[in-house]
Amino acid sequence: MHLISIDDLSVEQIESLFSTSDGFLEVASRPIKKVPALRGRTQVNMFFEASTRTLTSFELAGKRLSADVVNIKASGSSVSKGESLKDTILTLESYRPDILVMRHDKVGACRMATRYTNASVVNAGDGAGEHPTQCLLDLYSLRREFGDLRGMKVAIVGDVLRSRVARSNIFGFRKMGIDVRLVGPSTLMPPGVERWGVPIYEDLAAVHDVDVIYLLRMQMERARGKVPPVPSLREYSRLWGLSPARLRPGQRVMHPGPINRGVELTGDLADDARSLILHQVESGLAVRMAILYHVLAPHPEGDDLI
Amino acid sequence: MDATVHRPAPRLALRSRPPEHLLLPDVHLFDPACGLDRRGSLLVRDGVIAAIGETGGLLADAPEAVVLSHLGGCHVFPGFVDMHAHLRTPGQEYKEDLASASCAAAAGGYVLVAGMANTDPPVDGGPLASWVLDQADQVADVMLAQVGAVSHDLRGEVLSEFWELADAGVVAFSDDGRALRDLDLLLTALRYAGSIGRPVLLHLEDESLASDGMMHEGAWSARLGLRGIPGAAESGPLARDLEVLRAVVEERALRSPALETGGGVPLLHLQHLSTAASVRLLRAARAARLPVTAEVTPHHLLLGDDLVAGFDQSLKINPPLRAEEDRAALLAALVEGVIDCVATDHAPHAPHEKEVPFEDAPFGSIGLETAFPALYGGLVEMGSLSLSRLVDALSAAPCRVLGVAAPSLEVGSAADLCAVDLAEEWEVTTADLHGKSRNSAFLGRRVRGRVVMTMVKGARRFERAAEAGNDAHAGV
Repeated sequence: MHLISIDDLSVEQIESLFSTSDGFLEVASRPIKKVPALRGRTQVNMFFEASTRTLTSFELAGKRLSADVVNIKASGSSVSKGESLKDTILTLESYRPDILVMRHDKVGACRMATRYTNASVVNAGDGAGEHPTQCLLDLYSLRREFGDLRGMKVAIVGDVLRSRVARSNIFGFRKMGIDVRLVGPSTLMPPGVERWGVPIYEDLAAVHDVDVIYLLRMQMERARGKVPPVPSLREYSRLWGLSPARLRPGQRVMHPGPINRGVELTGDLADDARSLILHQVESGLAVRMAILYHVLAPHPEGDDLI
Repeated sequence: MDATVHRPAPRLALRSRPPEHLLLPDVHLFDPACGLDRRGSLLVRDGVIAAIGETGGLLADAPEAVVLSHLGGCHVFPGFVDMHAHLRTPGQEYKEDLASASCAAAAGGYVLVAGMANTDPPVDGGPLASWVLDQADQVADVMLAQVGAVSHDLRGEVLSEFWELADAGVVAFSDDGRALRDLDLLLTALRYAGSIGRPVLLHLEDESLASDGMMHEGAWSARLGLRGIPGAAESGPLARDLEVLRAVVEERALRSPALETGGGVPLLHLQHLSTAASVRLLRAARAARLPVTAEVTPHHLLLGDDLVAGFDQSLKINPPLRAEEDRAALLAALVEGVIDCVATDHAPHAPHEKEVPFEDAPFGSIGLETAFPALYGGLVEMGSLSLSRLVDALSAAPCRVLGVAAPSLEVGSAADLCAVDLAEEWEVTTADLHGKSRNSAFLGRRVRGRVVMTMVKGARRFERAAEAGNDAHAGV
């Protein structure tokens, strides 16, 4: 199977993924962190756009599952010589990979890749489209921190317009019974978002009664059109930047990273115990191991994978 | 949501003066907003209208009040409000400054004037807006409001920091003097300003049609050999911009009710409309219930392009004086309230700048001292416009657009008012101008109605010498 959009997964599949993740989380605490689940399998990580945590965690996840892992980046590959995406994938297909983990700066590139390969394609972020594995690791972090997801309240704050994380998380969170609201300047809400049935608020005061404030990265590098949606990062941080003083007792803060200290949140909040940002990274490894394992399904229930 | 939503309020700056204790005896009280149209006396104390009644009764209760007996027989109106003036501060104080502009405003019966952002440098940031308003607190004898620029440095590329400007107290956003060419900028500005609850004021001008134009394009521009500015230079962008407004409004309506604009102000306000075609587009937009308002200047209501034949540089104005059918359409729209308010577009230029060949002169006319007398003499006296509609258009209507409290003659209101002798007919001369510049389109024209006294927050800010026929005047 492929994992291109969060919509590809049912609630049951997500819960099953989390059970598997629990096991892999335990593996990460062992002195020997490697299991043979994907021995003999080939995993190709194709990253056509910069990444630190996603590439690292997918590479580490594959290696801990004993897969043969190869990384390809746009720079230093034949992509930089002008090879088309189609030809790059057809070329790799000759090596019969089992899994293609792909990041690309264009929406829909991962879906296109599925047409030219027999491998399972995992979307590791396509332009402003989706980032389903981020959504799954965020849900897993929430489950670890809060237990039951159903009925939780989460405010997603900021640059929804250009965020692939938002486009996966809004739908994935709601699928799992989380009450989602969007907060930010109307210029950072994509036109049409009002038809998603998610409440939209402009004032940051709207985060006052949520359990978790999920901050999105301001993606000035993804400017579309020539008029920036907000006048300046300075004004954005003054109105929508989160500081420890704004947090109510019990509230937690999440961010997909990389954070812009002083923009979406103050530096001291990033380092605060109420920030789950590093907790998310830790969850990411276990969840991505589970994803790699599951996309090569079917695995019979109770399969002794560890 | 029970969390408080942040909504900055406009800051109105004014030099404070000790409130006076005054009696305006036997005047004609006229305020359409509270249905006042009768003779009576008005007592001002502690900055507010303390009582309305008969002179004898009021004096019995307040024997120490100073009686302004020379105002007897005058009309007393809620003070006028000009939402469109160029105060030239900072940077062009040789044309006008906050003190001189406020003198001109008070002499015209104005109690509140909004200054545009196209100064040098433009008011495109909170600190500069605060600086101007702080200066006004020192020198302004009428309330001054500041408009913030829509775009950084008026370049039409990146929004200025609207929230910072709003927190500094700006009353609206406008790049007036320049059009917003880029539709994406207009769209972004309307979305962003809508959440703040401050309107965007729009100067409509297609530069490709208007560039190098000197006057209205028509029979007179053809006859005089001056390059014309076609009406479509205004109505063309208006048609386009109203479509953007419609899209933003539909989007907001579909989002949360929390996104309603604050104070019921329009999202978009059209500045200095000048053509019949623009009026037609505005009518359709209003019929479709779009949140759009509009203003018209006294000169576009009263003066036509034929007057340019005299090459008076004060009549070189942008948008230009138009044709008779344009004036008729503007007047009809004002009468019906389709155009909400009158604004002066007071645009001072130093004599040495205007005393050049017509084609080289800068655009603009001053207008604060002459707005009411010109419109009263030219329209109300002729039966073309009711006095109540004129007073509304000069006072309450612009306040509705800006979302600020309107001057009122109701007892308990701040004493922001003016007294006008409607009987006096006079010819405008440079001696009647109180600002630094002299470029009035109404110089040499007969007007009717003299502002005799203007009061802001219960203190007299302008008072004309009591002797009838005496051209001398005195600020107080």
